[in-house]
Amino acid sequence: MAARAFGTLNHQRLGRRAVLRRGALGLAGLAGAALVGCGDSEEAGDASGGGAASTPGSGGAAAAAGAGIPANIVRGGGWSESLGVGYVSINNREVVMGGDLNTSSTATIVTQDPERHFGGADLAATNDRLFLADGWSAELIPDMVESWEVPDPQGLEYILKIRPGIKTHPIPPLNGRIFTAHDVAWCINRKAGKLEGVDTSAFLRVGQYVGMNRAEAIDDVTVRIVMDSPNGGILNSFTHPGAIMYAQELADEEFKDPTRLAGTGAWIQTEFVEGTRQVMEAFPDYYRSWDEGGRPGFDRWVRSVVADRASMVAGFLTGEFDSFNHVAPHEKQQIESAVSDAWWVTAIDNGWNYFGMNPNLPEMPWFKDQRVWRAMQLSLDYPAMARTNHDQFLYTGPVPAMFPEAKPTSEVAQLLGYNEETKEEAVQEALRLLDAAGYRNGAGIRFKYDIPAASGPYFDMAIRAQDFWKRNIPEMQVELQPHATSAPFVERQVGRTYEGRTWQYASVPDAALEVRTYFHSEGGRNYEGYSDPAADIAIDKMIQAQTLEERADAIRPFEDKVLNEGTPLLPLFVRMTDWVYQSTIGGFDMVSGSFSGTSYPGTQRWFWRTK
Amino acid sequence: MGRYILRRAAGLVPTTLMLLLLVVILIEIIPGDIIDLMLQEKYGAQSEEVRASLEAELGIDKPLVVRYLEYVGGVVFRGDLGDSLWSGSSVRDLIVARSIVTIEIGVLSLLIGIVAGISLGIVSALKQDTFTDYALRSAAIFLVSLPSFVMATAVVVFPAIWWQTGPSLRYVSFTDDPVAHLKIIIFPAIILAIFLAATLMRIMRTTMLEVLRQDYVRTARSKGLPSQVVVMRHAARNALIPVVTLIGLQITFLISGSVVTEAVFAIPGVGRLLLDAITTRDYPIVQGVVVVVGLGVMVINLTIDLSYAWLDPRIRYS
Repeated sequence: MAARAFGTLNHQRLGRRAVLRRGALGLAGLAGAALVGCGDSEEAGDASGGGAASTPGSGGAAAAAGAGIPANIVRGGGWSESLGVGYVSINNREVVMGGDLNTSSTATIVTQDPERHFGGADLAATNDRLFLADGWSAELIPDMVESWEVPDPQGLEYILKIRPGIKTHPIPPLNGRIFTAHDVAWCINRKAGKLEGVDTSAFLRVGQYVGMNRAEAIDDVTVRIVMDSPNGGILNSFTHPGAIMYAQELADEEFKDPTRLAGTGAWIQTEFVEGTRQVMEAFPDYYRSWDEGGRPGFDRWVRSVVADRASMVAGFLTGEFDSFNHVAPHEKQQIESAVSDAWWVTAIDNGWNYFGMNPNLPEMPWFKDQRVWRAMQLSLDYPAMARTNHDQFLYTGPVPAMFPEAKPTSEVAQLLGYNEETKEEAVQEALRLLDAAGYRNGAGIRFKYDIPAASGPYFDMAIRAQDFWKRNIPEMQVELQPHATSAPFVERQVGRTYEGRTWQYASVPDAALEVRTYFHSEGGRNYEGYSDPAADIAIDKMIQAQTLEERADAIRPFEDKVLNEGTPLLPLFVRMTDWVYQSTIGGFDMVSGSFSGTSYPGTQRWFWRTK
Repeated sequence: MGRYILRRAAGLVPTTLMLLLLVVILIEIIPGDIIDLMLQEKYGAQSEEVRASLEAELGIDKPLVVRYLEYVGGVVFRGDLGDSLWSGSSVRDLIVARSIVTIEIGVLSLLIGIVAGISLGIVSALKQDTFTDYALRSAAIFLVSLPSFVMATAVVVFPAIWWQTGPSLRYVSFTDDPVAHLKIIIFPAIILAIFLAATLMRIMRTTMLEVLRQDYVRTARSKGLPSQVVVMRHAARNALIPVVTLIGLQITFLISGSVVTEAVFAIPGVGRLLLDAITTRDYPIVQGVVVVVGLGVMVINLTIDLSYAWLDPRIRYS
């Protein structure tokens, strides 16, 4: 029985898709304004097809697949040729098994402990998760879990059935032993900070397991999770790339030796050269079969460290690397001009960008004023800022638009401030609010605008925002403060000494946990110190809700309040992102959605070489 | 001579202690904090207790003086440069593993730069005010004004865009494949050598012109010595003293240049180790690299000072 019925809010998903489709077709109209596509998504589709002899995917099992393609792979919900966004062509050419997959990364892993490791995509190659999240709908897809149930209607107990006979890698310290429910229960307890004597100070995701009491193994294949209070998103927490399952033996060794990171995953790490490369070999006894869509099509995966972004692009252009991720607009131009048959994948990213104001500084009383929050919200140029990342984006409220619980992006796009057709009216309203607050034309308001980079999309975003404000709120003084690296930015953010700031947040795969982190008065990243009792109640209610409808209903009033009144943390947009692959790479099933960015491609187990 | 060396070596001790102090203080005052970076991805409470616990775990909760003394003690008595705050790896081991390729590139670029710079400087001086002289001087000025990171990026990016080719970015060690290794390190070595060669060429030309006008050179010529002997044995050798001094100074530029070139060419050397450590605020690695590089520069400068006597027998150390 599914704990979460994500499919039940089809009107929302369809609403978003309809908007996307209309945006892709370049139709005028209000809904089209929700997504700034400029009709280029069809171009993206053409580029995807390119010279790679590709055919569009159509959902469900691969149809008319070339020889050797896994027979039973399931395409993610976002796969549709009619969609402008999230459109992914399928390279249906004949599979050529074996060979090397060459990719680049900015570093070899520095922290082997999965609980302290950012992102976790590389560890997700050597280990598995209990569930995966559908790249489009975030719907649970069982992975190590065979089935699950929620016997308690209040959501205070979960029963997980683990696949029997999951083999570990034939290397120390596990030496091929079977990974059982006992391992899973121990691992869940460690993640949730429920093990005695384990310091969880640096555990990054312990907050996702809020409300959990313990996990226990009933037998070798059954795990019971007991909750103190309901947390409707706990199973989704297991879909995070950092939520991989690992054995106690590794923790006993304190994860010190990267060549002993034995797991159950599709890849066995066979070589680790610090700062240089990681080499993985396909695990022949991996529990997923080829036809199920999971065993790697390559014999080896070589991840070479290339620290410089321009060099990464060059490595792709020369064919030295098979993939390149999160392609920036200027990089896309270079790649398209040089590698015409490259295979493009466009998806909604799992990140959302924001503009934050600090209401905690006594010398800046204007940022305590709700009218100023609203004026800033009304006066931001969302499309201009978003296009620094990608030519398409989703308008969003406090629940990031890629979540099915979120207020549909088409509805957000109609609101004053977001609607491009009424932007002039929004600016006038902003000026009226500032005047009422005592800041006529922004006079008296000044702030330093922190950016975590001195170039690139974030810097460009700030430049565009500053330019828009200069034209529309002429007396407001905004001084850009770019930082060479993210460290000083983060220090000012965490220390709450920033004045204004822009960056992005990567979402966890659960809407309730996500919104709690930033907008609940006890949220871990509520750096604005935002505190609204009504918001706390709504968010708590959302976390405890067990169905998608209940969650959406619980949070909608708060979303509307934020979208119509403003907050010191203003969500700007949900990003789109491009991946690009050489034309001889095939695979990539179950993706093209919000959480593909850090999950499926990260494992590289879905790829194979084609003719 | 021996006493001079001992005195100079003893002088390295306070300099090194000052360097260590400077490094520890610099790390303290640069903006950005490793705890913030470690916790930036954390969901849930980031209380003061959490921060304090992490600071204690990493050993950065102690007062600055205590940390300095502990660090100096570790370096001087145990050769211990500490452990990486992120990975827990020994900084000494990391630097040793990464320094081999950096030294290779440094030596290669020095060789290329010295040979090219001195040879072209001599040619330019001998062909004074000819087309060759003007061309070499113009080229030298152009190359000196071109930052190494621009050249490095151009070498990697433009051939890739125009012809889909370029230097390999998949590093191979010398022991794995010597030829492939050389193909990889030759590009950064040449780029680093270009600046050195251009600078040396200009100073070599100037000093050669001065020396060539000296009486003893005229005497050597009037004795009927072959021109080659006059130039190489009598003129060039004496012209080398300021050039050698410049080489010593340029080594620091080579090291700083390696930070960027290693990043662009995906070379896992000390320069990139330093760059990554600064970005992630991995203080022990930053300290370790600065100390090792600083000591290296001091030793090289001492060696250069000692080489003056070989170049000019009139120079005596006392």
